[in-house]
Amino acid sequence: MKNKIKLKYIIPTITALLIVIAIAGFVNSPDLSSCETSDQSPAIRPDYSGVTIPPNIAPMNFNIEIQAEKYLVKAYCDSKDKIEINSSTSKIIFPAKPWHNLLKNNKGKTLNIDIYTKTKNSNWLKYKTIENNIAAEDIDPYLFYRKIHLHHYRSRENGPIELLQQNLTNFKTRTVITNQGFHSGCVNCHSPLNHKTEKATIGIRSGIHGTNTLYIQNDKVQKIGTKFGYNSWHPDGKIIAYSKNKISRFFHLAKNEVRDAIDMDSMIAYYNTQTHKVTRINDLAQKKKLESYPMFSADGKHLYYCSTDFAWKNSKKLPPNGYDKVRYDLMRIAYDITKDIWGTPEPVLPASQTKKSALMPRTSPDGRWLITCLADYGSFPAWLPSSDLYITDLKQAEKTGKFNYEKLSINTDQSQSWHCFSSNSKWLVYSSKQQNGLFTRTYITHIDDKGQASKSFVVPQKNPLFYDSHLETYSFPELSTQPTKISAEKLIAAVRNPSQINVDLPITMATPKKTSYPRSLIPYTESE
Amino acid sequence: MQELNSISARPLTSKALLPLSFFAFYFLSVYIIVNPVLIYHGGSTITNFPVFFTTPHFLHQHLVYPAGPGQYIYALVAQFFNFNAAGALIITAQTWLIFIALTYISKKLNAPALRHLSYLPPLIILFLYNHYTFHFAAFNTIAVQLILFCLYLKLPSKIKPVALIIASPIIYYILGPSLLYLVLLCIIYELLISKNYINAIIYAAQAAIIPYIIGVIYCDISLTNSYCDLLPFSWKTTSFSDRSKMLNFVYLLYALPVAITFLAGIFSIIKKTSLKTKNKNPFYKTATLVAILAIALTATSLAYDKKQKTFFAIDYYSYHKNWQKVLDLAEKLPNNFFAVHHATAALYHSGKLNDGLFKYTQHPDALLFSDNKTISTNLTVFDIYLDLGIINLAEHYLARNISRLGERDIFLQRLAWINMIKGNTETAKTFLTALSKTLFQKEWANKQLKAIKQDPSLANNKEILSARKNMLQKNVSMATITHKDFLTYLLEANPENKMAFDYLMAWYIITKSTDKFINCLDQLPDFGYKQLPTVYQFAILAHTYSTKKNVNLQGYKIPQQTIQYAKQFYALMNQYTGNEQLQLKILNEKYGDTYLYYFVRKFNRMSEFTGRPK
Repeated sequence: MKNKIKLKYIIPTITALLIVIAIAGFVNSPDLSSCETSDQSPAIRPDYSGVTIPPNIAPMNFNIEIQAEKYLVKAYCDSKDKIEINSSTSKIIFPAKPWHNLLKNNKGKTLNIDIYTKTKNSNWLKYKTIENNIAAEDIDPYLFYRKIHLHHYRSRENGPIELLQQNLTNFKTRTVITNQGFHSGCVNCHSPLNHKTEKATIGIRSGIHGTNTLYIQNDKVQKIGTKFGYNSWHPDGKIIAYSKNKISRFFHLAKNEVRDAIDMDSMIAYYNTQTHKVTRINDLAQKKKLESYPMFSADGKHLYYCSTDFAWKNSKKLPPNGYDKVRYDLMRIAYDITKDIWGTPEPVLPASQTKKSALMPRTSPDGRWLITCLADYGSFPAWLPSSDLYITDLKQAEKTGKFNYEKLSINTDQSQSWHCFSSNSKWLVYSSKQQNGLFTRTYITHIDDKGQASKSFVVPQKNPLFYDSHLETYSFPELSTQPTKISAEKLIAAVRNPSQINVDLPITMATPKKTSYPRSLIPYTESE
Repeated sequence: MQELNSISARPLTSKALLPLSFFAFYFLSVYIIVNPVLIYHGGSTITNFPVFFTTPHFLHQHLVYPAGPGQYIYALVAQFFNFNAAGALIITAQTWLIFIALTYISKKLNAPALRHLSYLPPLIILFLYNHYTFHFAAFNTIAVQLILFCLYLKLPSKIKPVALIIASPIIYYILGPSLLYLVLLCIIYELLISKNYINAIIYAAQAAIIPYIIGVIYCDISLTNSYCDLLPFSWKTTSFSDRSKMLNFVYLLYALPVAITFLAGIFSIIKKTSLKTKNKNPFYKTATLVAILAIALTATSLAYDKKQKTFFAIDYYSYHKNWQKVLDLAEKLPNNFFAVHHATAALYHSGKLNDGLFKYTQHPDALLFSDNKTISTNLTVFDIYLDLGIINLAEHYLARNISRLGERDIFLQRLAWINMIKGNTETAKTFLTALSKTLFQKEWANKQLKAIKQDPSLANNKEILSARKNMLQKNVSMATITHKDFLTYLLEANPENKMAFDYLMAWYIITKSTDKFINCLDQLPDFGYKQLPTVYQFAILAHTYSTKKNVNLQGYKIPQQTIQYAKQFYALMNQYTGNEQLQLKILNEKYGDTYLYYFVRKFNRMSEFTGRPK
């Protein structure tokens, strides 16, 4: 009985004491009166120093790469908002609410981050302040991307292929669709209309359920009986231009990047979302040419695409002779949606000028910019370390009649590809292997009025060391102002549903034919 | 009082003795015959062996969907298959749980006559492990659900429905759709034994609703997965040939408790009596049971798939570079490319390549696998490429293995090493950091991370430097290259690459291109050959005999004894000229393990090659 009474008082007392100690420890700032200063910039991982950040971005947690016993981080602007983190570990996790307040109240200002460390028997040491710019413009809050293991083999017994949606403002991630829902297969090209999810397409390839495109309209989903390869919505949502590619992978024996891919055949057609008919664009389905990567301009009056001459005779040889000499021109063709009439192809960035292969053109929604991958050769920039992003000022080109191109400062000696503008044209997300050369991660950069890109940063994760050991690639990022409105279950049900919109691509001499390859060389129609 | 105790204790001891001795032998059988470590390694066949990382992220990933917590625990437990004794203990514990649950169920349902069926699941499980299949999740699931069913039976009738209804969402969250199995047993019990039809209806309704609400609506997972995950009926098992092997036995395992419950119920309805055993002489009864069990256990233990085990063991020992074991095991799998391939590598690493090459049935396709040959096999053949210096090919195979077999530590370790060789230290660090979160490779990983930190270029690591020196320099597509090209390019990259030279010579010999082999004899001194190895001697003699041309021995000598031996061979061969079949048969008997015989026989296809014994 006595023991019970004792416990009755002891437990709450200890609990209260612990709470008081914890609060005291949390609130009390360390004594920095004898603090020393260092000229050195503190190393942090991921590198979130000197970057321009969206005011609505999730806390950019980082790890301090300095060995110490205690860490103190102060994040502040010139307003009253301030975050102070006193930590015994090098992992710095910002509290979400103060972080958002700090950024929201200081748009267009500098975010200062002071880092202090303390080792045993020494004073606090303050490093050079990290200065980041808080941009005035928000980034679209939703990022869609594909998560996949290193792509060497068709089998997917392990490691699902998933299309994910990450909320850039709070780390929340949800699976839009996973191949685990329809007995494996592939989930690939996903394409929302005008940065919204009301209308979108997702490419599906399944041994059981076929190769199809999921056509999403609000909360309805239909299956179109063909796969859109690289595709682009016309801004009014009436048509989708897409390329039909016969992509073949092959593997290098002595290059650092083992994987490579080449288009053995390709053409561009378009799908009418109202009539459900596919129409060939004659000039973009030439027998002697390879046409790929269609991309509508912001006003829908031009379709940008990449084109090159069909360079080999023996299509069964992989890779074909001269594959490393293949360089695509960036072209465009005028289009009148009211009359459904296509103009004449005109060169934008011809390979003769760039000496590079132009791939994956993406235009900004405000119509000002065009960003293109330029690589030494080939058609699949994600596996080409030489692939860099180049920007073209379309407004200036309109005035001068000349398309200039400039290399963005964010490029590295690894592959940059799969880029996408935000709806306000101020942010660019893209895939890069700059972290380690193998695993693709998504990076964000700010594009200013002069077309200059700020130092880019990797998409923040709650755990700052997340990317250190993550063995899947994050590729094909697409920004959206809205979350997906359709459940994964519904999408999966549509994949499994045998009913579909049947479309027939008019067969022409240019239509990629089914070719029988050796089993090991079965061409892939999509990749990382 | 003391007397009373001793009386009641005696039957208990004798009752426990039988299962105790049964499971003691069971443990030994698993430990000695199955070798759980071989299952852990996977033989490049087990595609559903779970990976486990000690990170909070890995834990969190498993906490956000039904069945995730269960899978997390299963994954953790499965890692201990890496130790034979621990693996055997886990398997024994698994089966013992099923056994005691079934014994309890038959007793509780008043059907003691059926209790001997409790020995059947352990035998089925042993049989399945003996055939190197991996239905670990299914076994765990049934064990846990049967224990839960026992708890259900133990509860007072009034509490039963409340307890099940309250526990169901929790069970569903932890163990996923395997809840449905428990509910099925409960429904049968309520319908046939308790005759409480309302309970049965409520259970059926909640079994239908819970997966839909938690799985489909709340967790947004597919309908099929919501109702099938972790059960052997799931497409994740049935859709993949490697995982669905001997699945009928797993179904039998699942059917057994249902049948026991059902039979107990039916008998209680028909006869209004319990299924009791007839009163026979207890000694006779026990002796019969012991005899049956002993025979069954011995038979099941001995009925292991010897070929499959050898295959798994070769895979395991070659990964761990236990060459003598590989050589011994490969003899048990003649005519298997995989075994011959690894035996050849083991011979090289043991310095016996040019003496023992033809102790194993050689074939050009066995020396170095090419892409087209192994597209669907995903065998662990990456090490030979790594050792030779064809680093990208090794990386390619390892990446494929990860796609198919998961982020297993055995592959991550090699990928980290490959990237260290390639000088991709940042990539290597990613693999090493992941590896440092595994249970058994973390020490190695941390050691390498430390080494990279101290010397990012790893320029002082002799092993790395040697591997870098051997790396292939000439870039061509993997699909277009021939075996000969591989080896020639390797020697172009490093003319001192002895393994590449020996393999090139072996390639010429195996493909009977003796003229090319002869042309390379002048390089032997460069590789430290002081005398001609046996296989080379025979190759020269075979060449001389077939071409009738003299060979420049480059100062080497062939012992008279060998020449005499060859003469005897050709004399015997000539004796049977005209009857090729008989000729080869006789030559094989006497000279089957020599190059002389290999040279005269035609390349025959090895028995249908799948990479694994069927």
